[in-house]
Amino acid sequence: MQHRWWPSLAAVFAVLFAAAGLAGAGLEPAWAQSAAPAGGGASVPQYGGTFVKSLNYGDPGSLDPIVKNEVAALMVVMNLFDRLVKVNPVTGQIEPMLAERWTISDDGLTYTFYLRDDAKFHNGRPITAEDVKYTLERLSHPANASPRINLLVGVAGLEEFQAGLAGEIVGLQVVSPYEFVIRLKEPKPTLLHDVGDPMAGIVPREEVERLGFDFGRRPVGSGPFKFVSWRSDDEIVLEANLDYWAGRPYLDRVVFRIMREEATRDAEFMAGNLDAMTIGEAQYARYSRDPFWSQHLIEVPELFTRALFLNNRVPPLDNVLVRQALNYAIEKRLIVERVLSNKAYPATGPLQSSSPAFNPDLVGYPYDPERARALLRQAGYPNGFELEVLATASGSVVVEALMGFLADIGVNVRIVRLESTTLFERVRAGDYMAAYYSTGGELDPISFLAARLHTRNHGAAGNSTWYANPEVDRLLDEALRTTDPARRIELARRVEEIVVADAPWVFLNYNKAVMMHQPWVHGLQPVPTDIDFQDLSKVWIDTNMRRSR
Amino acid sequence: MGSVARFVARRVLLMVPVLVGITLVIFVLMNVVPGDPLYALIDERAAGLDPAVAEQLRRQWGLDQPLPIQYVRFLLNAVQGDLGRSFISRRPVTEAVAERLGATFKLGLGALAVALALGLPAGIVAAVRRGTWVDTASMMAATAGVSLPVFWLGMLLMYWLAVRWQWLPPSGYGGGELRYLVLPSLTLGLPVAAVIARVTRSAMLEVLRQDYVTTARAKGLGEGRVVLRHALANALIPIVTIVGVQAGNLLTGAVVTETVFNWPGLGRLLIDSIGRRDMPLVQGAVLVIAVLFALVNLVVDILYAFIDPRIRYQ
Repeated sequence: MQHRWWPSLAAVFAVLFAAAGLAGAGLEPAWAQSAAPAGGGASVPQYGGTFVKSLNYGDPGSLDPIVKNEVAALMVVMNLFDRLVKVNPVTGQIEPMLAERWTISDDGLTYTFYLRDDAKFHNGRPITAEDVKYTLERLSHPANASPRINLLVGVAGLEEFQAGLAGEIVGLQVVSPYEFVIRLKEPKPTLLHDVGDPMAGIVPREEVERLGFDFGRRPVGSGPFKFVSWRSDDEIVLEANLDYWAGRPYLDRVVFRIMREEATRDAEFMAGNLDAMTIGEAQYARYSRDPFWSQHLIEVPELFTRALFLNNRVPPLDNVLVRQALNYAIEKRLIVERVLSNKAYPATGPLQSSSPAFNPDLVGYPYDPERARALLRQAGYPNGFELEVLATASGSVVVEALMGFLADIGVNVRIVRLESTTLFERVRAGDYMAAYYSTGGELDPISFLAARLHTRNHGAAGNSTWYANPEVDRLLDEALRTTDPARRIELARRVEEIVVADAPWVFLNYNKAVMMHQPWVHGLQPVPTDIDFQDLSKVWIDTNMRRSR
Repeated sequence: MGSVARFVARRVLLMVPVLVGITLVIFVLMNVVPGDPLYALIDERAAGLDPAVAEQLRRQWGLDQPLPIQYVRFLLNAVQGDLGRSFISRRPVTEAVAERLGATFKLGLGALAVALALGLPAGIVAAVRRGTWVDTASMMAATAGVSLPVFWLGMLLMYWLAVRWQWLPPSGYGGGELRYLVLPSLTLGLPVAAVIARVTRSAMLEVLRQDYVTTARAKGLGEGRVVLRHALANALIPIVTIVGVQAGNLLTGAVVTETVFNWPGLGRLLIDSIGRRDMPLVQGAVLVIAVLFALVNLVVDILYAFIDPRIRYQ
């Protein structure tokens, strides 16, 4: 069967060529062009309709609030379960939720929460202080293997409970059905944020005990939406909780479609089957230039900092002059523009531009290769050195862009590509020279800085660069005891200034999170912790406009 | 048929060491990969976990035992139908795998139907009309079919048939509706159709040269009867062999198609579990895939006896 090769090959080329040319024609459907521009249509919120959102990160596995600390799970969980208090996703302010109000004792050790008496679980049972106690003890019990097992560190009696020496956490007290007290061993300014965490969503004991592990597959909460159905790797369906204490949400239904593949999401969005999706760099490059879709993008600097993390114990990186030189050597703006399609903001320090403590006057390290070379000479490395950088497959694109800048000052980069689990394994163990990744997700600047820069957290606990500065430790310790928000921000900024001067990381950029939505969708918010953390009780759909397409 | 029953029994027994071998390889591979399984169970932030609490968790999930003991325990439980609990969802592995089987079979059978419906006729026609434009065209299409990357083919079909012309839904399972099955079946089935067409063509060409075909024609039988009854029936062995191999792949190797079309099958479950290092789920999914593959091969072997009476099972 020896074959006439060339006509076959010609056929392959012809097909590829034709198809590629046609596929390049763009993804915009005709109806989109005729739809009303953003801001058009109804401006008064409407009730009704189904909102379909992509869930980009794979099947969440479990919707039990305490099980998985992943965006995939929490973006759903936060709409199913109420917490004691709510952390406003945009401002970070604490707002009432199941607790109508609360008081803090003068010594900062006793928090008293007054619960509303009209809140019910989706099974109809009223929520009381017993449920709060049950939920928080369940979260903290080792048998439940929750990633947030340490959320309540500082609460009196936690250690005894976790060690099995006590049957309850004595610091969690039910005073009456609607009065709940948390007692601390030492002041903990983040306590309200902690009990507002979606992983501390209040659960009904009887359902947890009835369903066992299945509770994560058929969750029963008390939030604005109720669970309806879930087909693994396909879709999760919620419906409006008509009895919600704050009034029913606008939407009748919410569908999360579990879609890992970006191109598939694009196709579904363009077919009008998706109402909103979080987009990546390639999509942003295309849609931000499109006259129609650029008006339907919600952008926010996410609370994540991308940096080249330097192992501060390894020579020559133990020398501050060398670390500063690396910071001066890179033109951050160019990388944001050329490599990240402008879907990022150049960094000046560890704190992101949406952080409450962000300092707009901080200069950081402007691009100055001359100065970088001078610093290297001064440090005793006139001929540079070799720098081994760990990166994931996606991260190595950025590292490759850094290589040229660093080579320019004599530093030769060798990239080691690793799968992310292995990369973090090596970073936590200190078995690396430099590593490129992104870190963050906390609204509270002090928590963010302390976890990554305090010597107490050296290694696996978060400070994996082994950065050490006693002054930073002292300021952070003070901030961790301070409840005054203004003072905490002042302390965060002082810490940041010192850290920037010490340059334990090469500060590169902050991610710009972008969500794209159909013209009939209203009420999505620029959430800096993660743009997928949308409070869907605020979202509504202009149903007339959608039908008219 | 007694001999067939004995043959099946022997083949099923032979599957046992194969399956044990596969689970062992997977177990070793998953444990050789650097990383503490405790991080898969909890997550990186738990790194600051109190050592006593960490120890308690290890004990609870059986991760404190030496690896050989962990493996033997897995085997003993697996024999009793217990594949353990997923680290991620905390639900039984058997349940997580079982709920994927429906979608996996549907896509596999849909693709097989596409492959046979297109591949067989194309191969037969190409052989019968050898050297004409029909032959050239179908073999060119077949070459293109095997060369196209599945991912790209899928995106192309999706773009034209679903987004541009809106004939079919772009992706998803749609609660099992048939129209959702069309695009993924085409994507997965077309390359296989191409392989089947090529094999059918060469097998048919071989047979069409045989004396008994000439005899059949000489008897004055119609060309259709000659081709289908006398030629195709005798060309089936290589065709069934290749269909058998491909059927195993269709059932278990559809990861890319499942990803592109967002189809909730076994492949995606496996890939996701590997990414998240959900060891119990990886073990369970691989075991089930291996069983499926072995069963398909067994069915093919039994089919041989029906196709070719000369084949005996002893």
